[in-house]
Amino acid sequence: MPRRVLPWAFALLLSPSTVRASPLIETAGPIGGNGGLQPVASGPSAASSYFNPALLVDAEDEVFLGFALISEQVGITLDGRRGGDVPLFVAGRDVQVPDPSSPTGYSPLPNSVVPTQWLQQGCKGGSAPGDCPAPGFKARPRQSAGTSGKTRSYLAFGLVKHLIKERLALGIYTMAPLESLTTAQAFYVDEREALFSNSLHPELYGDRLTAVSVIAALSLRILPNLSIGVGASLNLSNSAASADYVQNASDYSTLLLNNSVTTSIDVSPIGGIAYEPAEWLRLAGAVPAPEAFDIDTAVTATVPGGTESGTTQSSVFDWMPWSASLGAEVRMLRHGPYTMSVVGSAAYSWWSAYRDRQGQRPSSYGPGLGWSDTLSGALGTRHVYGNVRGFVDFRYVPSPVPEQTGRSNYVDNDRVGAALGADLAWQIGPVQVRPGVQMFVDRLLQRQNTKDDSKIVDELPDGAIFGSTQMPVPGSKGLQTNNPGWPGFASSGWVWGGALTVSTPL
Amino acid sequence: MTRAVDANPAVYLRLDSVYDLIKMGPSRLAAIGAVLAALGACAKDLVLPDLDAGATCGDGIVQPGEQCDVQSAGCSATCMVVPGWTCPNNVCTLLCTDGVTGDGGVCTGRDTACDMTGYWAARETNYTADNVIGQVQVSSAWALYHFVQTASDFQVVEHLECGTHTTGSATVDYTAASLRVNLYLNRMDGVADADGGVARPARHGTSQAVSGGCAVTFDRWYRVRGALDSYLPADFSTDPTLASLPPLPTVMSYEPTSTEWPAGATDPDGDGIPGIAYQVDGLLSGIRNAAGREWKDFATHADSPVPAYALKLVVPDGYDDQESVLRVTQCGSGCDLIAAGSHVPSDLRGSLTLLFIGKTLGSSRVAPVVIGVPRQNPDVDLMTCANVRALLPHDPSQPSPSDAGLSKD
Repeated sequence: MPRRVLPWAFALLLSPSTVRASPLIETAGPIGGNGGLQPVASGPSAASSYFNPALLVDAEDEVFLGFALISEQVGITLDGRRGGDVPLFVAGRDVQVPDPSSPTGYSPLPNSVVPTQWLQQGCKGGSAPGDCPAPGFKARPRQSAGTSGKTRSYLAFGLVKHLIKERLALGIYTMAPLESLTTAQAFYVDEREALFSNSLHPELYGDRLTAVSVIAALSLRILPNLSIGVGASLNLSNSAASADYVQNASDYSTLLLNNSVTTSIDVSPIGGIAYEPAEWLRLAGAVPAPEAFDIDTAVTATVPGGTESGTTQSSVFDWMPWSASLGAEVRMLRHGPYTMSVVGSAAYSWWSAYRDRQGQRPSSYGPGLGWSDTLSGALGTRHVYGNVRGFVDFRYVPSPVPEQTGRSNYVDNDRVGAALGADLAWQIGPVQVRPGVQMFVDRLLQRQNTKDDSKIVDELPDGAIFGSTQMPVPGSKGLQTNNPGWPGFASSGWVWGGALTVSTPL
Repeated sequence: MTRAVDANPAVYLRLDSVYDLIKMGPSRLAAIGAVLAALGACAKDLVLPDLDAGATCGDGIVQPGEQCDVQSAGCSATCMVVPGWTCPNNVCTLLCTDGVTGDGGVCTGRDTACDMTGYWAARETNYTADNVIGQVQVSSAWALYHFVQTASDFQVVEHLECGTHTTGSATVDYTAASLRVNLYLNRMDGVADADGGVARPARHGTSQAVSGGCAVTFDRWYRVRGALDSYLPADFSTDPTLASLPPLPTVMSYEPTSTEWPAGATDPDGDGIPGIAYQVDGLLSGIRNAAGREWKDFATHADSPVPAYALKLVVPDGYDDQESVLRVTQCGSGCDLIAAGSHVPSDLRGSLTLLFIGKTLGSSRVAPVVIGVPRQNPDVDLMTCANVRALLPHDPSQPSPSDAGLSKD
């Protein structure tokens, strides 16, 4: 059997990019069981299907249901602007900027540059001088559409069933939001976001906490003290195509539109191993593959003149890196019905390959702005007293995001956290149930980002002129930007959660 | 499930609660989640107050330290009011002297009822329909005029062509080089263009008192750009239609790689491409080189003269134009659209707006607008033109119903 399973597991781990999964489960940790924040090495349960399938053979056969909450409370503080406004005069779309590559020495100011005043106050629709064509330009004050401060509820379900007693076990684990299944909310992290929400958003939370995932795993004990496991998470994948016929570029109510959306299921592999060299010691490791939820949107537009143009926009959601986790559980004390063990674990995550929701790599923003790989760690204890068991864990998770001194505004913080939980095996006649409660809290440490003006895009370059008159544009001297993160921002907050669970032997 | 443990009431209650939890379904559980969310919502985003960066010239807001902040010849680059101007409520107007009556910044009119003598800023407004989706394009063409009137006849003794600006489905302007050379093309003061064109009689008009104001006419004037003057009428006195004139130079291909140079085409802007160059922006972007010609004349309706003594006159026009696209460049995949051009719809009529500046070059009213003696220095004349354009800004609004249905002639 091992000879058959291992190549298959390897093939899954090395399979290319069509892998998808759930950062939600990473954030929530295992629901049910006694794994705490270190499920890679402790607390065999249905959740081990995701965190370390090798532990499934050590789990009891059970089925469980959990109701969980996760609350993200990430506050973002934008520093006050110190000038730098894009002048109202650009609204006339009559501005040209120096361009040595152009035969005329100038090229039109990109249409993405709009007056700062429009963003803050809007532009009234009408025909009077200074008005915009009806219905006008809607105001987008800075950070008025921030996404911090959301609490979501979830259902978790799982089961473990040994197919061969103490040798081969099957695990299934899933966690799904109760309100909306899988949302994907794209945003830009630079000055382009001014045209949309004009706000900053936490990078690693938000829609990432709505990713549905179903994991199935097998665990095989290949030696009395060595087991391996392999799992796969099943997730949604989308592709969309939009074919447009533009009858009137200034009246999109006449647009003719054909949309085509395809939803499919993708698979993400997970592998794990557990080794117990002594009865009081377990060493374990797991390797989840990189994960992402790609949405490729193909847009083609045709105009009456016969010209067709098209593009494909790729959005990336729920991106998770390659990572490797190692942990150890050491039983320190056994006294009658009471046992206590200490658990330590570490995880190395290759965040440097991160792609944001627009499919852009942070390193593309310039030297020193690429993300870093991270090494996080956790330490805690496990306690069992008769039919009661519980855990206490502490962890530190560094942020992969460097200080945001340039165009990009990735919001993320180092985290320190704690978790505790307990459950109780209760025998009632022929029925045994195990109700449990658990909670965790992460403190997102205060972080300040201060921009380096030389790295910010000057949206109205010096030397800009009115195209119609060739006269200089007042207010074009120096830096003008609508980057919502300029001249700096800070973030801090909490992520907390909890769950009520109940399980029963299967 | 609960029935199996009826014998133990305590356990029954416990299991029944679990059963109820399952039975509630996702929506009610979500509601519970929402309540807990409200309890847990504690994060707040903040935007700290802007720092005092001092007044920002160019933001359109008059702040401490600024006298004005508006795109106007009366408001300097440092946002101070230019001598000879007044800018109450951030609207700059010339002071009332030099042929203008009034007090301070409130000018009431000219000091002559219908005499046109003096310097005028002019904006011709025309409507065309693009040849792709038929959207109406609004064009402004500016000029500086110096008229001298004798009896009821006035004559152009000096003028500058100050460029055009078109908005609608695309924004069209002259390139910098085209704007510069266009300053002196098709001159109307009776002198031949410097590029070897044919001298024409100076342009004339009439302005005379009638019941209810002044009847104003302005002779038909033909312009040609990007082609030889031979494409103008041989005899202007007959007011020929454009269709009756020899066709403009044309090309087999206007693609960027084309090297065609049709006979009769000129390169007034010196970009090495036949025709005069226009920058097209908006949803599409590129440069269109074209040969074109047009005529315009103006006359008030018999039943609606312009007011006597008025500082600002609006006179309906007659108009036709032709354009032959010779090359499109820097147009990506939209070259065909850039080349599509536009046509004059038969049901929309434009107008000439004249704004009186003053009578005397160098006076406190004229000097801030007409920077120096015209035709001495193109850089100075471009500044003059910028002032003219600021006095009569482009109005991008689509034609009102009153503009429709009027015949062109």
